[in-house]
Amino acid sequence: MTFNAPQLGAADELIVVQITPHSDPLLPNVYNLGFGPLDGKGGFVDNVRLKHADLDKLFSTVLFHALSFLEANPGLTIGVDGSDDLRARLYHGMFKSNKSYLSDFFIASGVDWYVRIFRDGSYEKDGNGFAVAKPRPEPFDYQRDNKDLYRYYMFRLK
Amino acid sequence: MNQRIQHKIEQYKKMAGANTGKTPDTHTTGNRTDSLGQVIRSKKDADEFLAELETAFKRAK
Repeated sequence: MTFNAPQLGAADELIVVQITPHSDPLLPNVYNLGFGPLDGKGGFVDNVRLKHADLDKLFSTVLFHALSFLEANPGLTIGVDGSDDLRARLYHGMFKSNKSYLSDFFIASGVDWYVRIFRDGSYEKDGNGFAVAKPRPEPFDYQRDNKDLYRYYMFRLK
Repeated sequence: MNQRIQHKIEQYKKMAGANTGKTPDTHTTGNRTDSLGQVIRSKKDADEFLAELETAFKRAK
């Protein structure tokens, strides 16, 4: 779906909201939510900085889309990818600013990446010498500082 | 369900329905890279993660 989001000092921006099956077949009940302005190539971009006139309204519109989707598909979980700081700040803010308004409907989880440290102080690496990160979900901590972002955000119906 | 929010959902659904017609159906993110998929390397990883996610959701209720 799309909606117009008023911008500060600029024309309204057409925002695309999309919920699609997670690309990993090992996560069949997880759907990915993304939103952002058109990219000019038939998709959208979610890593651009916009000056939204009303962020709360933007977030609540996106979350209502998710709520509507989950009402029709109550067994599913929605994930949002905080793969870079800009995205993660946006999503972190979306969760925190809507806690009181939508906590009646959603339960939320934040996911951090952890690396296993062995007893000798070395850490688990893959064949190329890179750290092997593992996802670790926890109940979304609304007290967590805005600088202490999760890597991934997930929610489902309560 | 909270009637005020239920009403907003109905409003939203109407708006979404109206807007969908204006949107080219080529708006797809297709093979977007997702960071969660990158750190789940096997079925064992996925099973462990999903079990931990269930626990996190139960604790969050």
